[in-house]
Amino acid sequence: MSVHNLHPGLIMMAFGFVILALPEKFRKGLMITASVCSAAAFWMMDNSSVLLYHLTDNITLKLIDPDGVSMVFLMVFTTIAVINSIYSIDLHNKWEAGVTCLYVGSNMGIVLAGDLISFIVFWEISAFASTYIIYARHCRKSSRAAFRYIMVHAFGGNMLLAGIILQIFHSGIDLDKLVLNMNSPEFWLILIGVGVNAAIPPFTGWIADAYPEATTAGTVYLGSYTTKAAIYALITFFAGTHMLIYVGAFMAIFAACMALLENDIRRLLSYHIVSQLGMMVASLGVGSEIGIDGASAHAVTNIFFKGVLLMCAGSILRATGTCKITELGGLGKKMPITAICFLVSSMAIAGFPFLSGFASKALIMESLHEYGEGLPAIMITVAGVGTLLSITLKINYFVFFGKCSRDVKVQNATNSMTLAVVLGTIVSIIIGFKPELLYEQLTFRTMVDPFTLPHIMEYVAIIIGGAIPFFITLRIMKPHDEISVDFDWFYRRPLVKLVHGISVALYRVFDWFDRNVLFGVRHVGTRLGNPYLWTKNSGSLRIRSMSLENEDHLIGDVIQAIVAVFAIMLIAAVWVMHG
Amino acid sequence: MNEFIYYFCISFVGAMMLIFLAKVVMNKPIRKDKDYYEAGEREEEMRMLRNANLKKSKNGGRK
Repeated sequence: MSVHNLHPGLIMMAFGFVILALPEKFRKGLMITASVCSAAAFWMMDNSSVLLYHLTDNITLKLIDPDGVSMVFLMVFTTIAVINSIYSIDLHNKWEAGVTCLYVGSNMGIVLAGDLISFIVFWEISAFASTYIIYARHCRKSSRAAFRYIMVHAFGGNMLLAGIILQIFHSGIDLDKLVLNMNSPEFWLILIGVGVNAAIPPFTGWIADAYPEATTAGTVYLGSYTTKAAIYALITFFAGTHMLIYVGAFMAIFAACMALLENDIRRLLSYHIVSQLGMMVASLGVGSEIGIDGASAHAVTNIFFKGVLLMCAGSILRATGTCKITELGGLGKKMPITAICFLVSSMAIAGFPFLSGFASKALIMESLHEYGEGLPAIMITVAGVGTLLSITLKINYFVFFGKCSRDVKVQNATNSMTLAVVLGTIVSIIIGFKPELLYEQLTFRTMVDPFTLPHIMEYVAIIIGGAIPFFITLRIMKPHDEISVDFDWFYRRPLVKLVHGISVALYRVFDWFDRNVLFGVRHVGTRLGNPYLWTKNSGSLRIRSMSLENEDHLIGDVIQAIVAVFAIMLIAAVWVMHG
Repeated sequence: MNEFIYYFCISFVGAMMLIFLAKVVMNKPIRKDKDYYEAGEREEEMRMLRNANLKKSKNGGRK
């Protein structure tokens, strides 16, 4: 095997098994080594890299079959794996670290898969590994969240599996030959399956439900992979499906509204994952070269700035013991590095000029304008304003830099956490100043110049126009210690009651059968054995007077004949069934 | 300059709309007490634990 054909995902997964097998003391070194080796394997790959596995004489799996899109996603997956492993070096235990390696590796496997079988296998590994990462916090809330998460993803996974089986039946396992038709059931099955992971409405609720319940490091990893692998899948299967432009625009607006209501920083950031995914979905829905490059570029920049934001939220949680905005304030002076990195990344996500979000949003907006999609473009712009309001202004004001009367006690974050946060921020700044570094890596190498004066002024106008209402409505923007219900309400309330109602009804039906059928069998059986019982309790004297000895009525003969006929029927039925 | 005003207006109106949607329209149906789900879940767990007939292990749960 050539070094060009080393699979970064399988390397990561192999290290995961080694971490699980070896004692805890090897965990830190192995975790860093895993991500570095995986990144090295990626940098040695090229477009001709291939890794085949002959499953049977007729079926050959393509574990490595890179194209332009997969290389972009793999680049960011391997890079963020290194930064995340630095962040989590003091936070993991070996079980979480090992399973995290499996999770990261499986997501790399998804983007490298060249056939549908490898794709679904890695997809399912990712679902189960991510469930453990949520469960790994080992508290009742995380256990329940993990259970709901696996239920939602089992539904999505099964839909995807059914769609893939139909697709394989029609056109084989190759991803290259994939053609999905909107009138076919596999189109909708695969769309639902992938849509669950991409948090397309109505499957948005699981992110804000599950991600904040994971461990500090777990949330950072989860925010980087599952949804971005789903965007890769959407590009592969559904690029150019125009319906998705409006779906994405709705996602972006809806999640921005939900984020404005949130009090928990990690839940708020989870909603912004959905909002940013909406922008990517809209862009890939356009389907043009610039649309696909826009979705890929935004996935790349999003992984870095959202990664840093989630890392900062983790640092706040570790330092103060809470992520609730109502219990925080004035952290700018107490956690200056975290505050600055959060500020920079929150400006990047809002699309401030000379930061990474500015470069990637330029492609998304260009793709929407180029295809004359006026309304979605306005919706995406407004969603961007929502990001500005709820992250850049709300969190920075109420948590870091605004006036605060509370004295929040703070413990220092570890050096590794701080280093990772700084590294992620530097990447966002570098991409912001040199966007061509990002554009050159994209599938179609689309180049736009975001630094034209009209484009910069456009964003300055958006930022000023969005900031003024925040300060006008500062009083009602103040968060409350409450929660907001999402689509997850349907499976946390009515569905639970429905399932409970069905189970109670079934229990009662079977209980009735248990009691009455057994009673009936006993009743009939007793009377078959003792024919007198048929007549002796009757209210009619005439019937009571019937007996085997009563030769006039011959009731005993009648009953004996019935018993005989019944026995013959029973024997015949048994004979027919065995025959 | 026209573009600047255009985007300023979109952004200003959009921000006001988002705040109105989130804090006024969606406020009542969406925002719930922080114990909204938890209370029911805890109650359900207590009910299951009451029915579980747990027995304390002699060795304190160790194998």
